[in-house]
Amino acid sequence: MSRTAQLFCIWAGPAFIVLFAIGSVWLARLFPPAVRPQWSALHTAQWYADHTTTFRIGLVLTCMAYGLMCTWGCAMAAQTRRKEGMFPTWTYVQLVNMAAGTAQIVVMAGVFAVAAYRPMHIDPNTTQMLNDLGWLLLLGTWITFTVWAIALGMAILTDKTDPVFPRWSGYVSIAAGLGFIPGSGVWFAKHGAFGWEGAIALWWVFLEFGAWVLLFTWLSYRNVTKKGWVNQQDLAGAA
Amino acid sequence: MSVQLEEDSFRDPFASVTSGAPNGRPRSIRYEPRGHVPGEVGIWVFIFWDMWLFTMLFAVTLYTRGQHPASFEHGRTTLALWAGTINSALLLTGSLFVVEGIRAVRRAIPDGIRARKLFGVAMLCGLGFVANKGFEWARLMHDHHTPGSTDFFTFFYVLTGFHLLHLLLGMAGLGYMRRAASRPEIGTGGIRNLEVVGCYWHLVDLLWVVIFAILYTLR
Repeated sequence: MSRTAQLFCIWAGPAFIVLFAIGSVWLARLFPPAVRPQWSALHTAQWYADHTTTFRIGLVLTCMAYGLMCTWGCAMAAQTRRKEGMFPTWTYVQLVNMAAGTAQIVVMAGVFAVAAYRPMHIDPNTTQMLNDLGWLLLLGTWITFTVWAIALGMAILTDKTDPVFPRWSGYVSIAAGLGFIPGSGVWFAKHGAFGWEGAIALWWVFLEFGAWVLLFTWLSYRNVTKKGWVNQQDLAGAA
Repeated sequence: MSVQLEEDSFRDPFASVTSGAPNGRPRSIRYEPRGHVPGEVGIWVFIFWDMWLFTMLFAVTLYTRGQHPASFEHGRTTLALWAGTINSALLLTGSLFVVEGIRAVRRAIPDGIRARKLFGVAMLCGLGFVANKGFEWARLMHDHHTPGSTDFFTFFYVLTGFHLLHLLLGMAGLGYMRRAASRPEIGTGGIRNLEVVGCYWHLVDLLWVVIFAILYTLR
């Protein structure tokens, strides 16, 4: 197994966060949401018309960031795969879910891009609907992320010998996965903590996801750069 | 002609590792009857992480309650206090049976049959909770109290729904406990797992008590 490839994937995690911060937070102003759920359609469309260029550039960077997200995830899957033997089920679960999650979240960036495509040239109601669609997709479709995090946790906890990651991190991963669930609130609420600018549905979910990414970045980095682990894998591959 | 499996296929590099860790960490987790963290450290990380999320949920619930006192007071009077009380009783009873079950396993009371029964009763308590919650939701939905109808009901369904999900995971855990308890040689790892699920079940219990207090009883 190549140490370089793993390091490359691991560093995709922090790079994802940096790109996300520049793209989504600074340029597209999705965090905190510049467009608010209680705004009128006209107000929403006008905001899109006034911020078209920076919003689009922000989305391009956001799209790239989400691509790095599953690149990062592959490093975690590669780590847990090492202890799963011939039939690495938990690794498969991680892989399909991170891929599905990435696909869905990239579509979300596309939906926001459509909202910014012809603002004020089309019916403002349509712009507002696309804006809503972007948010409801981004926060409401948590299931792939939850299953991904739980699969990572289960891969650690079901390891009968010494797991690749410390056992406590397995519990953290499962807790983090469950923590994405209140994102469902955006499908029901237009304001307050469960609306898409709320403390729970938006802030908790994203801060928790960020913390989870940084934690496993650190743990994997520790594994890969430490003497022993990767070397043993190399020997097994050569044998 | 035999297939040369070993040459081509992936070989688990640690398949032969039986004790000790490749990275030099000792294989910890030794069971001591007294003076140890119940379960293992990790489950407590999980519990505090989860309790932190619920604390935030409770904080925003109470904040929103302060903003819309009428909606909350009206919502509270719509709920059946007896349904919530029965559910609290069911969970507290279930927790007691879980404690007794783990004690029975630890004392190796014949073949874990007693423990199996105790965990079974705890599962029945959990099932009773689920059924009661189902009837309660169905009745409220029938009266058009849906998650989107008022602020109170948004919080009501989010809190009770998220809690119910925790409880269902706990039920799966109890099912595991029932099976594990009857294994002849359960070992330290098995006891640890039982304690882990037990701690989790108490968390489910504790969270419900707070939810009950905030949604059903707070005037």
